[in-house]
Amino acid sequence: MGRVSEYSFISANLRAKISRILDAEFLLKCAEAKDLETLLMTFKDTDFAFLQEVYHKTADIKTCEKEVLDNEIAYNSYLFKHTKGAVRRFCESLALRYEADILKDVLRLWFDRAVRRRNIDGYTPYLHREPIVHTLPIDPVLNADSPEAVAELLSSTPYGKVVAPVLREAADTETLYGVETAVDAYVFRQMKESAEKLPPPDRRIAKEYTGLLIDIENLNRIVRLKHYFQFDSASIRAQLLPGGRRLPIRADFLADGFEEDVGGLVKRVFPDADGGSVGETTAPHFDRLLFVETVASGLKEKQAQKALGGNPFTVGTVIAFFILKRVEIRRIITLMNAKYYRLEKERIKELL
Amino acid sequence: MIRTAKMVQLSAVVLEKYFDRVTRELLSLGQMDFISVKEVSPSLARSLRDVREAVSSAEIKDLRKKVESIMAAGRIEYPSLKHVDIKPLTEDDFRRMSDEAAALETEMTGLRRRQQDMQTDVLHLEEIQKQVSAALRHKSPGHDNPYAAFLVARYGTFDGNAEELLQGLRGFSCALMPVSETTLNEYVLIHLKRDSLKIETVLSQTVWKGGEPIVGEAAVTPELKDRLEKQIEKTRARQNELKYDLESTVGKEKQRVKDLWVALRVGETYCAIQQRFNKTEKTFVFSGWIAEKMKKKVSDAIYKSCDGDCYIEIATAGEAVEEEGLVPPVLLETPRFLKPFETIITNFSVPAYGTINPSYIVALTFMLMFGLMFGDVGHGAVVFLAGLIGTIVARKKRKADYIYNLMCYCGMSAIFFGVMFGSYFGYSWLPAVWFNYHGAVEGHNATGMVQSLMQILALSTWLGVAIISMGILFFFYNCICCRKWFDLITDKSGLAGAVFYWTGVACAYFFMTEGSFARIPSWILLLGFGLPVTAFFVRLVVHSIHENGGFKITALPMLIMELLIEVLEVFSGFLSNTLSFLRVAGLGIAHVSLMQAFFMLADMVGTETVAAAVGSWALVIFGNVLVIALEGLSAFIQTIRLHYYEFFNKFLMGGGIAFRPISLVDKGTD
Repeated sequence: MGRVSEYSFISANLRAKISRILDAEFLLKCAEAKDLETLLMTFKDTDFAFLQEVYHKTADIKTCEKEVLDNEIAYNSYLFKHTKGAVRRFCESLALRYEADILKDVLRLWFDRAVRRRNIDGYTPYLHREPIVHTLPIDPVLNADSPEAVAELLSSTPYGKVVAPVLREAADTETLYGVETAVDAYVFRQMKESAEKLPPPDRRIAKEYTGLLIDIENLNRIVRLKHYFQFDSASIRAQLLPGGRRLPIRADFLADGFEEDVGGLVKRVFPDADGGSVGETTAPHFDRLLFVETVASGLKEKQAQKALGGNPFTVGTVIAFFILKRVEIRRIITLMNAKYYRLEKERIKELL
Repeated sequence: MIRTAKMVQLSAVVLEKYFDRVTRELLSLGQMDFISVKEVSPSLARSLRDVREAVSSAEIKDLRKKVESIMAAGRIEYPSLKHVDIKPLTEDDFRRMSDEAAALETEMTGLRRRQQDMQTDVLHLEEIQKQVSAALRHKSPGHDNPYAAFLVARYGTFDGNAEELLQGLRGFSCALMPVSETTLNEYVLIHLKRDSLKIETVLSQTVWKGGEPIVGEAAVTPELKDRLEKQIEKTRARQNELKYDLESTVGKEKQRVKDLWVALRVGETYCAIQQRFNKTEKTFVFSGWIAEKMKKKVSDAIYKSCDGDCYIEIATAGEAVEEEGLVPPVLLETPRFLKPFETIITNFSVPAYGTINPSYIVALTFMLMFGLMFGDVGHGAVVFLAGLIGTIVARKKRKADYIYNLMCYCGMSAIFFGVMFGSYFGYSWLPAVWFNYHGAVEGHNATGMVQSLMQILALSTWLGVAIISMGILFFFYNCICCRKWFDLITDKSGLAGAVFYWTGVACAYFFMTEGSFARIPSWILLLGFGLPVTAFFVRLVVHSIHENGGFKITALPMLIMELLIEVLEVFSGFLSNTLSFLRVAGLGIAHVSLMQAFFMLADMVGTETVAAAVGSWALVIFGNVLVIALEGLSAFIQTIRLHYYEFFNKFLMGGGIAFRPISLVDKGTD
């Protein structure tokens, strides 16, 4: 009865919310809209109907985007309110991904201002400032003058220790990649640790999910480091996160000079990935990261469907909700931006 | 009316010169659900060509959607499509319309840009306000205030155009405000310290004359915060004005936009019809389903528009099914006021063509079940009013209102049964017409034909028997209509099932009233159960022969096993279906009991003091609200459930295809 009482309310509630999540099919249809205003009209009977009013008042796509994100983040506090103990801690660790995204945005803006000497005032109003799990000193960081000052400011949060060792190097080398990967590594570590503390049926589901996320993150890193930064195999290995379920991948792929298309790699790592899209990677100008992103979305959605199909009184529904909501929001934002910047329909469909 | 509407297939060949006239007629009638002639007659397909429109319907649709977004921006309501001038869109028309829409869009774009600038101003001001508020919040004498350290205030004079200065500062989070209401050229500029250098550069390019910048806590005062708030309010008000400007700019062209939309909608639907035509050398061919009762009207209209120079062929649904293998679409001719109940049915499944249209019966059974579960005049009136308000609001917003219509019906039913039970917000202000539900539940003051809980339970069980029996009878009717004689006899909802069920009901009745089946002659029991079981067995055998291409004696043990399972399933199915109706009693009893519980609580609080009396009434009101919300929802859900699982399952042969004629009022072309 414990598990039933723990999950009955939240599970029923989330399932009701999941039923309102817009699927890819609907959003692909929305992509047919001629422009942004027509697109927003297609949301009229959905949870995103408010966007039409926001745009009508502000004509500002970034404000619309922020409203969508704020909305998404608000679900986290809803989840925290209705869960307790280890499950709540796991939910918090899932929410750390949003927090990490915000922190990375803040650090990027700080970097732009302090290192690249750019004006960041056009971006700061769109930052989400309400605390999610920890209270981030957003404004002090944005106004900090040195990497050391940033690390000092962040020392009141768990991120202080994470970024302190890499921030100075980032400023010197003028790339934040190391800082961002360190933050991501921290988040995944937290997710893994909190998954371990869950009771057995939840633990299995949670570990499977975190394992998938780590696999996807590692795949992303491999593609980025190997194809864009031309890292050698040892350096790539050093950047991979432990805890994935299907990686580390084959040594020959990581070997220097070994060339293989990303589709082939994905197929090997994730045999259950969507075969149709894997085949498309042979296109010469295919955007590899976008491809990984697309495959990742598909895999996560599959994971969500799997979680939803199982016992309803487990953390599976919560995970499914996190996955599906995040995928939905990403798609909505992609769609809005694509329409705003008048991208071709076919390109939008690829992005979705 | 009791069955789905009879349909006929109308096919016609018209001369090329009448093409547009026929299209116009068909569109104004809006009665035809088109079929692809090429698919119907593959032999003809080779000699038929598709019709090429001057403007593609996809292009028209895109432009219509664009116009709709303009309408939304101008808060323009959709015009009616009744009595509109039906004509095709020529290329010139379409180009002119595109230009008109583009002109409106251009006008809007200018305003949108200003809105966007205004939004940037609001966000920058809010950014400064956030910092000022944080600085004031963290103000503590003798201590460093990190938030104040981010801010800089500059006081100075500016004799130029303040708008120009603002334009230069637009990219920064800052606030430029007059120092006081009276001084015209003295300003305070508050910005973030991090932007100091860049802002100094901007200021140096203007006629700004100012002193040393004030940094830190000295820059922040509560007065500044107030002024900032006022400034934000002012900017927001200007932002709102821009929104209204946009609305009125588009609103001024209201009629033009509406005309544009109507022309596009008509053109699009017109195109949609013409796309369904096929062309031969000199003629056009089309085919589609129409309701039988409309066949004269539609064929007369076609004849008239072709001056009698056309060929029309009408085939009955039966002929179309037999000769061309077509599936007729389903039109439920439910009167408008009963449409909400039709929606309940179609949500389950569209009935198969030629079967019963249960909308009328469902209207009755739905209200009957809801009323029995939720009978109270006061509660019903609240539900009715909520439904009425919902209907009005939904109609105003052009949204689906069927759920609110259902609420109105449910409310009316609850009022009716409230009178029957003598229940008014849980009180018995008037005597019950039928029986006193509260009395029967409480076990005292019971009046009328039902006076105890057991009788309430018996009543709902008999209701179940009646509904299930009605379902079975409808199944007979459907089988007869569809000529499914084998199913009529051997199906578990057919004669075999009916005999099985009614024998079971008789046994249960005698057992409950007399404690044994002794009064039922044994031959009745034997026939009542034996004949249906034999029929079930025959059904299994026939299915086995169909599947295996002949009867094999080795299959017999398996068939006997299947029969046992089938009998068990039929028995448990009927039993659970009937007992399921106990929820009608359950919900009704819960409704009464909850009210009683609140009355008891109110009594315990008493009315000795004013506070107690207020508390007591508050409890009664809270109880009523809770009962209306919770019990109302439960009764509604259970009513739907009883229909879907206990009633429709017995007879509704679903899988029908809804009739979708192309008309101006239908959204089918979307």
